[in-house]
Amino acid sequence: MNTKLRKDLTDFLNTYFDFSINTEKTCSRYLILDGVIEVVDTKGVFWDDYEVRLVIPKLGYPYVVPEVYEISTKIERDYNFHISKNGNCCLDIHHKLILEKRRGVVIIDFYKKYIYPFFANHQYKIKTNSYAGGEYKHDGDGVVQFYEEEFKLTDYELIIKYLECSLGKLKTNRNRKCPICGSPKHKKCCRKTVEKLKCFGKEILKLDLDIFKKKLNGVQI
Amino acid sequence: MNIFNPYLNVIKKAVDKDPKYSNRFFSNAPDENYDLSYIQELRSELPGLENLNESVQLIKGHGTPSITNLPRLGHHPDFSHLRSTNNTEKHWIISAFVDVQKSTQLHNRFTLATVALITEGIVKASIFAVNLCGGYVHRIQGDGLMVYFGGKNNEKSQATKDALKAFSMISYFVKNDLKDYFESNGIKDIFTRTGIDLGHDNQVLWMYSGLGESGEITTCSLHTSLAPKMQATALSNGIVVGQHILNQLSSNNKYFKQKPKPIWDHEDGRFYNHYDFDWERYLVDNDFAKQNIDGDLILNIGNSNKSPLTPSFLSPIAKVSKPYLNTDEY
Repeated sequence: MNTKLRKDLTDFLNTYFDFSINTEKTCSRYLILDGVIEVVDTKGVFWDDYEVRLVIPKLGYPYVVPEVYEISTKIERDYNFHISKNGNCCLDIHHKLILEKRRGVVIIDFYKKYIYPFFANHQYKIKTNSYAGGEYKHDGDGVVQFYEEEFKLTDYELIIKYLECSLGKLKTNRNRKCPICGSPKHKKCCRKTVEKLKCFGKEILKLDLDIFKKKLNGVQI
Repeated sequence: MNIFNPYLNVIKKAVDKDPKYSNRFFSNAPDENYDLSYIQELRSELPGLENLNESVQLIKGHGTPSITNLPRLGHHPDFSHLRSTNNTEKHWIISAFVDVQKSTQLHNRFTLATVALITEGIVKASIFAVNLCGGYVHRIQGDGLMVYFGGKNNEKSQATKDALKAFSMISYFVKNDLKDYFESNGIKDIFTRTGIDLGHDNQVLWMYSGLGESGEITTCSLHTSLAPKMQATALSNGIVVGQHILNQLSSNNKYFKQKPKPIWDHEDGRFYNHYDFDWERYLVDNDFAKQNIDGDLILNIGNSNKSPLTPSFLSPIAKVSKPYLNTDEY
């Protein structure tokens, strides 16, 4: 366990007393924490609790994405609750999670930003039949929704050009004509978005390109 | 609802209404210049025995005999036969001292009547917690208490758990409820310090100490004497306990951290150690408190009625999450 992980783990366990290391499951590759999340609202009212397992990759920490499994089975194993059959919780769209990974996570911060709100949101959905901050559609439709909400992009052809630029398939020069929108200087129009997209990494951009090409051709995904 | 809310609400009202505090930038008038007639009314709002009985019924179950009166100070009911006699008796006891530190700064901010009401509120809340957990208040000194846990019909291990629970509750009240409110009014560093120790049968002598009516049934014991010494070594909002307390708990390691130097040297090669007690972890582990998103404790003991679940109070936390699912991966 590296020094950073050891420090973050100590801080986490000294803050959230319901969590402990699962020594049987923890191995050289993964740190396994078992615990209980008690959903308490802003007025201090307790809603419900969940038994959970946090799986934190040791190698490369803090540049990792922890996984969360709901093991009390209080969340119905239905895709509409954004959970897999084995309880793996899909905390957010992978684009945002990959950015967290690239920045480097801190266990407490990740817990407050993604894990705890996921379970609070489940309680909210049970009570109101909808998620407080909305939800992404499943699969490719969720990616399309992400591009629309994050970048205000809805034109598939344009998005494909953005992605090809980000992947280096379309050559660009800051001071020359933009290959995406055709304006005289690339740096003054689409470059900012291209740079943002590059942050997701080639692997995700290639998958996104594939999704938007299929969408453009009317293929169901 | 937090069981300390009735006490906190009175303290809040006293602070909000205090004329010296609200005029602090404009006037340095003596207390006599202010109309403080409302104080008497506020004093009567502090909960009494009925509040204690309600909480006892909730925690110990309906049908638990009501407490009609609390035993008088300085006369532990299990040793009342020693009163005004020269007899002594050996019997184990847990001795504890708690007081609120830095509370004297209240005098700079508030009228004397308000300081008295705040102190009374803290003392009554502490007495409530001690009695709720089966302890006995032996002495009151300002905003501090000397307390015994244990007696003729108690188990040592249960009395130990009760003592730890009671002082954890008091520490919670001052560290969370009271401190948050005081800090929002510019009063900082109000905190408790607690020392707890257990003396075994051969280490505690019960006796009547004093002359005539001017006396009390008290203990003579190294471990009663060590409890205030431990209190003096406690951190802010800290509880320090002796080795004998630690020995009473079967799973003890995760709650106690040994202090670097022993609290007592028996001068025969033996040393007596003392330990910082992680009362917040103890409250959570025993389901006396829950933790919110930030890990802050929400006291869970004796919640009288289940509060309604209001989505608008959950929304600020929940809306941060926006879940997705890739059905191929899951």
